[in-house]
Amino acid sequence: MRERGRAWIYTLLLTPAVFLAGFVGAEGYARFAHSAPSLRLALWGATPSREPLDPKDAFRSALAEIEAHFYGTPPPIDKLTYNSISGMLAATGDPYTRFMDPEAFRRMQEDTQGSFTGIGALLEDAPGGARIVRPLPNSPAEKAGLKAGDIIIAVDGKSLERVALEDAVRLIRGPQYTEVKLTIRRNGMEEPFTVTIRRDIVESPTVDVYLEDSENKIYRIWLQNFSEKAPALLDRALNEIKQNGARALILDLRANPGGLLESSIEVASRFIPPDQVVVSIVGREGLLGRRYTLRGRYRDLRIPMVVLINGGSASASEIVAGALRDHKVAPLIGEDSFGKGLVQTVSQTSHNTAVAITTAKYLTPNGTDLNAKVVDGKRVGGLKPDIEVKNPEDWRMTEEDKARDLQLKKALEVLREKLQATQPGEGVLRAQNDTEVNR
Amino acid sequence: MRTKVVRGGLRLLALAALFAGGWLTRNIVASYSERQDSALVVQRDFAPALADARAPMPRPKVSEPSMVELYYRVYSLVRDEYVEPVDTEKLTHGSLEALLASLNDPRSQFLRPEQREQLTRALQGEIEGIGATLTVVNRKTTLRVGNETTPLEQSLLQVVAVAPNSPAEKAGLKPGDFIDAIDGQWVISEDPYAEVVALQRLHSPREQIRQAGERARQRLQNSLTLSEAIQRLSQNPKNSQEAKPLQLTVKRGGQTLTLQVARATTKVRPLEYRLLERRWGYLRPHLLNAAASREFAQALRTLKQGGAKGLIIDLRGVAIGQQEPALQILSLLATKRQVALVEYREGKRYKKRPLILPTAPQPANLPIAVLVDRGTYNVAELTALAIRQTARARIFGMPTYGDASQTNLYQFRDGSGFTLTVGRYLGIDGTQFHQRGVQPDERVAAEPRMRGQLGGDPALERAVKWLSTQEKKS
Repeated sequence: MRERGRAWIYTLLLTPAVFLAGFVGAEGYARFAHSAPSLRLALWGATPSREPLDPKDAFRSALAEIEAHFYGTPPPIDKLTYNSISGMLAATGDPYTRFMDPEAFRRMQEDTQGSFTGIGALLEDAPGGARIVRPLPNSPAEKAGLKAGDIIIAVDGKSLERVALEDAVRLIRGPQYTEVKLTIRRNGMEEPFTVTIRRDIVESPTVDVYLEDSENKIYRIWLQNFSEKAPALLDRALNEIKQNGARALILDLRANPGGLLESSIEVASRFIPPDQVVVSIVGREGLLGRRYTLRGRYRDLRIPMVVLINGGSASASEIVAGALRDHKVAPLIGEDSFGKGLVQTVSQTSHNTAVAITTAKYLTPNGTDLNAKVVDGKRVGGLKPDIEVKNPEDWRMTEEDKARDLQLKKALEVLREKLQATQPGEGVLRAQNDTEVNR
Repeated sequence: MRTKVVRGGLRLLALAALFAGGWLTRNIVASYSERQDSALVVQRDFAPALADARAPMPRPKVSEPSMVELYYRVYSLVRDEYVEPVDTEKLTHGSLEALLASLNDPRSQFLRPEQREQLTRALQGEIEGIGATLTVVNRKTTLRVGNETTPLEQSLLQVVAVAPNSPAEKAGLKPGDFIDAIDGQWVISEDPYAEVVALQRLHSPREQIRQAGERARQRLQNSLTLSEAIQRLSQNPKNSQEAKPLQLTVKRGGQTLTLQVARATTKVRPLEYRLLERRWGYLRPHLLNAAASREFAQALRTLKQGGAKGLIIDLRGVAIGQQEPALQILSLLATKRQVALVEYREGKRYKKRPLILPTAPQPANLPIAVLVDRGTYNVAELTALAIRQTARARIFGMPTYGDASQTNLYQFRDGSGFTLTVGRYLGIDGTQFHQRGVQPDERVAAEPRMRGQLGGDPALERAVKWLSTQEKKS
């Protein structure tokens, strides 16, 4: 009994020693294993094996070295981190996958909340400021006498010289009924002048109707975006041309940057019979879902139709154009579309930051990937038109520059040919029950 | 008997379990502590920034760990949710590249594995590409438009030095040359729209602005970023299509030259030496690396045995080097153990510490003439100044380049790495040579016809003249 007890005592006494032996043994083994690559290098002159990098470790240690030892004064640690994250996201090659620092995230929230108020003018980048493409009808800008081609060079005295268009727009927008002072440079005027405009809620028109060929009754409907109101405005336009006895239709999606997916489904449903695929949504793991044309929206036009696209047709425009083409409703005329059929998910992260990540993409019913890829610094892809027609590079989408709109000319030519091939009267848009389509 | 065996077995089992427990515990402990320090290795050849060269490098900590968490959170989101499978190495490298770039210091750069290998090979004397040491010079200048001038910031790609027998040397590229374009592609050195902006401010005619805008657009369309340009110049052709020489547009003084420069590996011998006129030991290290410092010691012995009465150390065009080998060489020449100072940042304050030789100096006890020019760069400048300040020495030639950055090279486990400026070298008396260069005691502007040959090398001749006077004195 005693002897046995002693043996157990020995064992107990041995406990820490054995435990320690295990500990030390593991340490020794780890050191040996760790030094193995360099050992190999020394013995056989092989290149050291490349172990994958733990991103967290790598970032932490580099950041710590910079903070502790960089000779110059390093930027604050949050700036260093935000820059690093932006560099990481840029490595995806996708401009829509991006990091929003607290400032950018706050602005994004402001932009998407509630209705914005502004002066009601379409702007584009111009050297030294923002050029007014055209003031919207009945907008504060139009009432103040601003004209297409005017360049806004300062907002409330702040020069736009080195301000991105996006930021210029933010400066111009503001709460309803507040005033904004714009400094304008106008062609033919020596000195810039200043106008004060009261901001108001802007009803951006979405649909314009043009009679392009009165003899053949060919109408063009220019859909400028896919806002919430776009489908209803489209209905109004379709009623108008129907009442006027349209015989052919050009659906113009040029310079349409897109908008709501819902609106694009609505728009496609006007031209494609119900329960047909408009778009497939594909994630990394495969098909996430399909969207189909809605019931009770189909207009059954039965007149020849073409769709105009160009490099400014993006996102929802491309979904509609792709669906119309794949369902053989209308051929596409013009230039390669922009190529943005991507879905971003915005995730809020710590420190009031957020990250927008492209998590899915849209495919046309036939499975065409809408997205452009950057190959050798050039964007390649987007929707390819069935009939490629390029407009002059400095062509503007204005009434004044219509003479140089070769894409429109081609569209008219194609439709006239089709009209000649059909019997007169057959192609006239038939009367239809309007209540059915009013939302 | 049986119970005894069973009990013994139990004891053994218990011990085995304990041993295993110890093993496991160590690994768990290690897995926690390793997270702190596993990723980064400071290259031994480069001196640690703070401590003595031999002391272990303290592992600094990040001041705001939640930033690392944020970084990792975004990384995980992209890795898991991006629409296509992601090359995670690209993400990590992209972020580290941006991290280092945000320091806005040409000598602090992320290095992809192949770039880091290139650098390592260059330090060993195998230089790829055109065989020139390049740097980026930030410069503030003015742009003249009409009667007005506007400030303009430039980042210019400059040749620091050309390696002996390199394609760059054969093509006639010179230290100080600015490389403006490669194969007709403009190396972006300034905002091409600066002129447009200036014209607008002057309310210039619309047509003039439009033309300037068009010029800027075309310039940018056919252009290379600085890092693309450096990459192209420091890489060998990958295939026969790329094998034809690069056409470099070079600005030198007020002239613009076009040079055809091939790309191939240049092998640089560490050192050449000989006895001139049976009295003067001439030593020319082509770079300052470990091999050069070893050969320097041998050469010095040989020259002394051969009866050298004075030394000439030719550091002209020496642009590649490391601190440790330079200190090894200095320990054969300097009479003091402290040879220079390093200024470094600690928190928000700047402090100085002495640069100390690794071993006690064994001075050659001979007068030393040092030859320098504007291609004498960084560690070589430090060496020249330290010799001058700690030995009986005099400097001949032209002011040196003027880059006193002390740079560490860090290596990650995957083969990538980065360089980081961690200090600034000063003379032992506090002399600044950053952006000023080390000033020669005797200026010799004339370029050598035959380098290292008496009768063809004016700076060398002046050095020999001075050494003769020193010989008489001693």
